Amino acid sequence: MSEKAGYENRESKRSDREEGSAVVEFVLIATPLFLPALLFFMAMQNTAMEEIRVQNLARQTVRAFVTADSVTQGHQRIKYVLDRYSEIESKNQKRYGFTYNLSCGGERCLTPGSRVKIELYRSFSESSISDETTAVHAWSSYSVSDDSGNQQSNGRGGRKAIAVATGIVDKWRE
Amino acid sequence: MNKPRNLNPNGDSREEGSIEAGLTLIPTTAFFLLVLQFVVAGSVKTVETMNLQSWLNRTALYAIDGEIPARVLSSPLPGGGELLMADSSSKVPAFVATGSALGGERDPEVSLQAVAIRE
Repeated sequence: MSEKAGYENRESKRSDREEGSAVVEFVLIATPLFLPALLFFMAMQNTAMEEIRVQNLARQTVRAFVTADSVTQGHQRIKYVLDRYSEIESKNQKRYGFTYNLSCGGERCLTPGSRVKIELYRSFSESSISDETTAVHAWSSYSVSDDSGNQQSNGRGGRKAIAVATGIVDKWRE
Repeated sequence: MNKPRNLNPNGDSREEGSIEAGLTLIPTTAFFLLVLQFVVAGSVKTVETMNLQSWLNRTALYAIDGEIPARVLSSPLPGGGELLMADSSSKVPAFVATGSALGGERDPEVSLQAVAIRE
């Protein structure tokens, strides 16, 4: 038994050692696990923020519409609100991405007491921020429909925030 | 004179290196702080935007309410009424030194916007 057996014993012990360092293994394993979690939570937060923005804009735009004198003027007011908001939000870079649908409960949208519903959409993916079109695009893509025939606006790629708001035309308006 | 290598009872050299292993915590901690910065900045932006929007809604309904927390722009709407837009920024607690200690950059800020219609 001799020297050869001792050598083999040492070799087998050396190959069985798999202790590693807990710290190094934690870093190597945890970081790739946490990175997707980070991206997910940031995307969630971005989506929530965008939903809040679009929800508020939907409320304001439907109010702007129901206080207009005519349907055409109502659309002008909606476009004005969305344009101004886009300008103030993105000072240097172009960012728009709004499209909307309007549904009216009555035969005529601005009859006193009629219910007006707006569905406001906004694309907000990273690509849509850089590859932004002007307000003209969204202005040309809006559609108006009544309750019986809801129409879908032109969509754009990426994520989309959707908000629905309802307004009632004041009964004292003639 | 060469020092003898540190041998364990099995005869192989020890190369575990606890210090070197601990050094990997430095980028991990930096990464953690960066993530924390992002999360806190996002949360602050959400909360402050809602506060600003709430304040602007009250202002549109009644009158300027208390201290003015933002730059408020007013522009007339087609057909009457006016559009109020508030533009502001809010400071975020800094967890990562981005040169502010050297007087280079300012503390991180998030920009806030709000709109409301005054009839």
